[in-house]
Amino acid sequence: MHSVKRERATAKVREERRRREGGKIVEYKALVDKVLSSRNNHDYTPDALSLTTTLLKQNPEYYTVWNYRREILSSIFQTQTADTIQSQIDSELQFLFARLIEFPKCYWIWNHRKWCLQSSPSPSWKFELGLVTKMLDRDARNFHGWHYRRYVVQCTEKATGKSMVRPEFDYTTTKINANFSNFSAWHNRTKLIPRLLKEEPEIDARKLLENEIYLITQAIYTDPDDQSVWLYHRWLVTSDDIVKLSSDERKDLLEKEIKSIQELLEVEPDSKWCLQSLAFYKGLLATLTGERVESSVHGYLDKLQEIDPMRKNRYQDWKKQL
Amino acid sequence: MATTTTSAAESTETCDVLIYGTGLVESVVAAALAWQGTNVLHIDSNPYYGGSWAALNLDELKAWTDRVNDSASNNTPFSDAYLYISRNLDPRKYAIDLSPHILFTRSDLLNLLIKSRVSRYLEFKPLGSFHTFEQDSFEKVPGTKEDIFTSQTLTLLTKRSLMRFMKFVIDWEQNSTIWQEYKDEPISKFLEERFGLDAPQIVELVHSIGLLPSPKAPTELALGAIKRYLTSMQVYGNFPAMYSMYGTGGELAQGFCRSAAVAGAVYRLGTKLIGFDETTSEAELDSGEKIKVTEKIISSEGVIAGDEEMTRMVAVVEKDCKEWFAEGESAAVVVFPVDTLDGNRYAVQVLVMGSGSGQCPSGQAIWYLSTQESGEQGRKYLYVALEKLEETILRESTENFEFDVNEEEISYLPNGLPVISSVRLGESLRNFSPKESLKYLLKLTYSQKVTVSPIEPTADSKVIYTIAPSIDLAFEGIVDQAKGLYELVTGTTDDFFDVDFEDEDDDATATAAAADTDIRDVAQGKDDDVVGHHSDFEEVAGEMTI
Repeated sequence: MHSVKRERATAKVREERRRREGGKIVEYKALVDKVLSSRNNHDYTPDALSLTTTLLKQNPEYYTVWNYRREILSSIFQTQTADTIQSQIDSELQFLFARLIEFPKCYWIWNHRKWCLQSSPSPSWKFELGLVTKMLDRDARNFHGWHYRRYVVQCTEKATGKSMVRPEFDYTTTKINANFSNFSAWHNRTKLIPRLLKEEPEIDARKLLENEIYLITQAIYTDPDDQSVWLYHRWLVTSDDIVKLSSDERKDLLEKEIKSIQELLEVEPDSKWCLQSLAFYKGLLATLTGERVESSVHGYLDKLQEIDPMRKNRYQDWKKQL
Repeated sequence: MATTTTSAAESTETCDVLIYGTGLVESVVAAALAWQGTNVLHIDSNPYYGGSWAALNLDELKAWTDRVNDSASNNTPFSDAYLYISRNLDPRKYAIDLSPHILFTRSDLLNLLIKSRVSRYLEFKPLGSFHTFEQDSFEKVPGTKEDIFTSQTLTLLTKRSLMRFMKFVIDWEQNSTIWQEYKDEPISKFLEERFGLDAPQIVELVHSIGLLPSPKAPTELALGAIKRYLTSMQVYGNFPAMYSMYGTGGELAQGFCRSAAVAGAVYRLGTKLIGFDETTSEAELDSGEKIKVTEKIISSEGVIAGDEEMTRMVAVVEKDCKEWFAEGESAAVVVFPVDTLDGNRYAVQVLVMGSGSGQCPSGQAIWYLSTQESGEQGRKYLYVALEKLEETILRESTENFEFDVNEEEISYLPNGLPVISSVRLGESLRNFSPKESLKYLLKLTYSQKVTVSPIEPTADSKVIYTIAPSIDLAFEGIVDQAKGLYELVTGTTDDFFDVDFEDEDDDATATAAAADTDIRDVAQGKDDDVVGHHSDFEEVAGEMTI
């Protein structure tokens, strides 16, 4: 969970825990030895598969064992019909689902799921989309989920020949409205907008950019401490993938946004992101106009050193480069 | 259990504590004492549980009205009841709540309900719709970061100011430098001067989020009330409060009585306490029995010196009012702020209970109105509020609401959303005359004395008096009051509900999880029609009588 501190156990509690876990550790080590030696012996039997199941239930992070599991499955598949393989994959997917609920952020579980779908004679992308939607309902900020979602959408598009850009774009909107503090949702949006503009040429790109800036400004003013919204703002202002702005238009956009952020800075004078963004945008503007960087930028960087002393040197460095 | 001597004719029973009245606070105390091993005899002169907190069917309500208007014998906090009931209503299909309250998800009382397992006797539903009456319509108040972000009507700077205030108020007790000098000043002054908030935001924060009677409420008190709402959001879902089905306070009281009975307390309804002899410590009941009380008597009936009087109104309407409810919910709160009803100096708070609350049949709803204003003035403002409610529900539930709009009257927000000039909209709304009129099935107005300052018990007496339900729409201070009474009896609060509840079910973890699930069912908002619920409990009550 985000920002949930782990509790520090007292010495007494730790001692208790150590005693209890001592036995479990011996068991676990024995299991690991068994699995690894089994692999060394190229044991690809169903028994070996069960061994890996037991181990992976306890420790899904042991990626070597996932590799071994795939070796076993591949070997088993060689002698089976498509139907048998499918049902084997289906039970594998069920096994993975239970693991995902318990460990939603383990790379190797998602990875193995991907492999299963790639090895599946007839994968159900509809089911996978439903699954990843449920996972993102539970934790909208799980980047594993978003990454997997992109993979599923891509495969679905390939299978159906139909683009899913519009519904996926709307999905990010829904997620953002529910909680805009979401790096992955904004990131997904940056991937979808260029495609959307290409696939729906009737969309006025400038209007879309205007709407996105309106949206992100609402977010910035609602919570200026949230980094994800500032990242998206920066993409909107600097990207060439939305609209190919002329130099003058880019300058106008920068000036408008600088003004907007300056107004926010007036009511939130200690906002780190306001100061950083202003320093960056004013620097960018100076590059475009060819003029000297405004003196106010030096002021911002000085203030930043004060309120963000851990990154003092970075701001000093920045000042030197002006 | 109370002990009985063998003689049939003149048996004198003994108990440690005699509790008179099954209101909410006394019922919590009864359970707390019973679980700690105290012999409790809990009686109530009414044939139902809940006392002044009860929810009554229509027959009980008629009897109650007569009793309350008989000033000679009335010893309830209520008076001046005027009741109209339409013919042909099935009396058992209604549960009219005499003193409705909502339960915030972050509250002592909810924690106690879960801890004591009384929550298992109850069914709760979510309440996430809080509206403020502004410019002839009900505005839903923004209570979360998301509401503020997605709002199409707040300006950027207002969004910032509101968020800054919300961030502060979550932790306000820790930041006394910011509010200390405004401690007893009006909250409106504090919000304006310290956070630069505008009138509309202040009105919403004070009235619909803080549920305060006026913006003059002192800052320290108001900040606590506002925090209560905001920290209660997202505990179980997108709502800050909930309510129990079939009646609020009365159902909770019954739940605690049931718990007390399980712990060994003895119950008798329809039993009056007619006297107490301080020298012999004998209480006399109207049955002629004498009960020896070894410790204390806690009484909610008798002398209730209320400091102030509030006015209440109940209206049962033939409309489901679903336009006011959030999806999956069956209730809503509407607040008419100060000065929106022709000069009212206190807010009028309305709790709308749809049929999903179990209080009335499907297709109907109950409007509970209340205000801190007393007497004729109080009733006047409640009637004005009632008219506004009627207008609004007729307008919102009409399907053929049309008016012409010119292109010039529409402007567009930067994101493309069209907006109609609010002045023009207001005009059309004011000129709207509904084709149908609202059918009232029941109307009741009454006054209620509320105690603001608790009554101090005299040192020598064994009798302690509880206080009447408060003005607050939310349950407030119940656990503290109960603990106070508990301490007067036992001398401490350390063992208040300090019990390991044994269950027929499994271990603590399973049952704790089950308790959580009960509350989580709240989010589903099951919609049942009411069935005479009293019958369920009367069965158990039958087991409890001696």
